[in-house]
Amino acid sequence: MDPISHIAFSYILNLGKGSLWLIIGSVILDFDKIFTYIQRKYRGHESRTFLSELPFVCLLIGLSTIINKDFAFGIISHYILDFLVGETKPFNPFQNNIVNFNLKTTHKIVLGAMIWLIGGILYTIF
Amino acid sequence: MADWRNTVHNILNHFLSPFEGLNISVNRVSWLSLCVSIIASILFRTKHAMLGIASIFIVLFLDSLDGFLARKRDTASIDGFIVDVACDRMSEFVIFHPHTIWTILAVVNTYMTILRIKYEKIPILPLRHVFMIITLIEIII
Repeated sequence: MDPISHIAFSYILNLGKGSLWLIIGSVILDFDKIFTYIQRKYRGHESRTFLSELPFVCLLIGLSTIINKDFAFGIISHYILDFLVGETKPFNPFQNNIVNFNLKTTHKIVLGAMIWLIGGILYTIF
Repeated sequence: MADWRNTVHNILNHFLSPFEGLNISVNRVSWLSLCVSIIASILFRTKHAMLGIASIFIVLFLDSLDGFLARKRDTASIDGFIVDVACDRMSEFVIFHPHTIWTILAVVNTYMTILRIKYEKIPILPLRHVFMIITLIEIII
């Protein structure tokens, strides 16, 4: 999913309470994509390193929940959206099974549009 | 330990047998349980604790159902196990937010799950069950 969808999704799940830390948390897991994109790995699990998967992400969530809960929630929402919609290797680097729920492209587009729309409506209201 | 697991499976089979004919893939049931976890999280944070508990109950039901369907269809595999436990761990993180102690327990549980993938004897903590019971007791008291 694109960064705007991740920000909107975290904003929706946080019930329309936005903050800078929530936004940073909801996009920071895509930081490793800078390196994978340089290597021309654009799609699915190829574009993800172990820094985007559960063993590392749960440590990040555990540490950040002590320091800043909005940041932690941004990370949680990011990983959930990627896990539900995309292709992940949840226990990479310890286990390399690929998880993909095989949602149709049209369903992904509709889901993305709904996230943008609901996020936009919430932002307008709050 | 194996006898204990068999007894639990037998009890679960008894309650879940009416759902045996459901025309839904096992992984889609796991997917659905994570979606219901998001709803549970929202309900808890909007102070609808009883509805949140009811949602966790549905999550745990779906969690049992996916394993039951996999066993009945003879499709139980390491791939399915990975999907199931990954959904469970994400479900814990989203339900337990913003409780610090519970989130740290979920981190510990994630690493126990990783060990469980390698060594079958390592237990996975039933954190959501405990969370549900404790929250229910808090409401009653």
